[in-house]
Amino acid sequence: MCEEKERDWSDLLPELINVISKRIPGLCDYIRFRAVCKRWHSLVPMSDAPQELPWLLEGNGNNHAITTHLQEKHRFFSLFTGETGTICVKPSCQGKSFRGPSQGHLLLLDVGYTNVRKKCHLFNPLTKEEVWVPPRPCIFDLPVHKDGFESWAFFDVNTNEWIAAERRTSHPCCYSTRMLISSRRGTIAELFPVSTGVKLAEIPPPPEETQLDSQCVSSHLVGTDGGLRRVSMYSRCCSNTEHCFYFRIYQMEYEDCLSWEELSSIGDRALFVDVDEAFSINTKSFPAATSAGLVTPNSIYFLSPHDFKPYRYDIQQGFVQRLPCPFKTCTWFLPTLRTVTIGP
Amino acid sequence: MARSSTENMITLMSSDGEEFMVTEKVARECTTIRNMLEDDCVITNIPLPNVTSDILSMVIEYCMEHVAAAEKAAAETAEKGSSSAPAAAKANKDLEEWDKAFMNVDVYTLCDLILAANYLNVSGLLDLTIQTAANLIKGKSPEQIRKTFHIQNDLSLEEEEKIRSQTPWAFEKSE
Repeated sequence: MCEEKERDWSDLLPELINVISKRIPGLCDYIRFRAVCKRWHSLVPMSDAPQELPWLLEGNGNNHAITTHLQEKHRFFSLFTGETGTICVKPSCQGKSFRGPSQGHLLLLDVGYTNVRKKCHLFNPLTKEEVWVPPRPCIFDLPVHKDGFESWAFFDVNTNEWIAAERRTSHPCCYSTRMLISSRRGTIAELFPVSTGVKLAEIPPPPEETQLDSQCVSSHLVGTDGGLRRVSMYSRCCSNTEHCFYFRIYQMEYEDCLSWEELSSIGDRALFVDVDEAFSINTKSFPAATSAGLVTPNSIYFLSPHDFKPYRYDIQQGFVQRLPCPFKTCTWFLPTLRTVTIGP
Repeated sequence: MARSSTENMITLMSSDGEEFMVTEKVARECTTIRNMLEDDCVITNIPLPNVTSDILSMVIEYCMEHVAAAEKAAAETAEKGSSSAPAAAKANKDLEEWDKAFMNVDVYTLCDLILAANYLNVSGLLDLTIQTAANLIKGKSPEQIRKTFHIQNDLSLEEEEKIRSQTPWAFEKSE
């Protein structure tokens, strides 16, 4: 009897239960671990759940996620843990178009809306939380299609208002309260104060690509914990998938004048590039997943503009690796259980 | 191993009264014992009432292997003046393989090893056993975890339903 008690896993010392829970890299595994017995449930707090690496969220658009409307259910897939599941969307959010990726929230738009301020909100499909006004633009740097025209709306921190800006074929990015806009081909980057939308400065584009057979597919601005980056994707005719895409990464420099300086490495970071959006994670924030080799630092995880499937570009080695994906179309999604609070 | 005769030997005594003679160096792998030795340097006989003989022999086996690996690496460095990176990488890999094989135990033994590694404060072994436990949890449903670790489900149906309903997307793994 005594021996049995000593060997009982559910009776393990609280600190040891906690140490084990910290080694579980996946959010779903962590949640299931808490559901084993009463003691583990009370010892392992939901608030300590691991930050989850981005998921692929299934879209139902014809060719890519841009045209996706929320349905009753959406499947997700984690490249990193192999986890799949389904998130249910509450009826009030179904049918709305969504834009992704974002930091754990989907930006929902009423179809055919005219007033951006009233008809747009953020929805966390994991917690079912809805937020009508986002707290700060650097988190919710999502472009909004307005009536099908190429213009954008963004949220003003100072006035708690959404404002729209007329910018053709642009990829906006909010970075330290300034709005930066790059064109799809990466030729212009402009600095705007979010509040006024008045152009402050223009950053000259990086030097023209010297590889003759290649073409710039897209250019994104990404705010990272190491500064503002510009990520340009190039495609070239090549029968070998490993070499049909490559990237150039630039860092915004402030010395004397604004300029782009090319980087050969992004260190511990990994970038996630969608058709419309890009975001950065620091793999150091995911210690369990990184030490288990689930995510590779100094990589760009991107969706190909050709087949809309996920690939990984290894920055150091310069090759492209195809990644598994069970979906026809998808978008990156950074899952979170965090609650968003409104206001500065 | 000619040196061992000149090394201090320590006797560790398990909860069931079995005695294990180990070199001081091996015993010092256990931080708890190292602290005892530093407090009282003449101590040669240490009773460990919390550790059974079968578990203690495993802990000693682990410590001996890791001490031997560290000694081998140090000897190679001394011989060549500097350690060669490929040789060090191979030695590391060999030790990792050894650790992996060492962790081929049932969950009861794993639980006892975690408790012993925690009590004796053997950081490498604690790390290894905790990681092994975490790996056993990965990709399993709560019911599969219970089966793996022989845990009784003491949650009522209502409680379980409440937990699941908060995050239903995390519970799709087939039971």
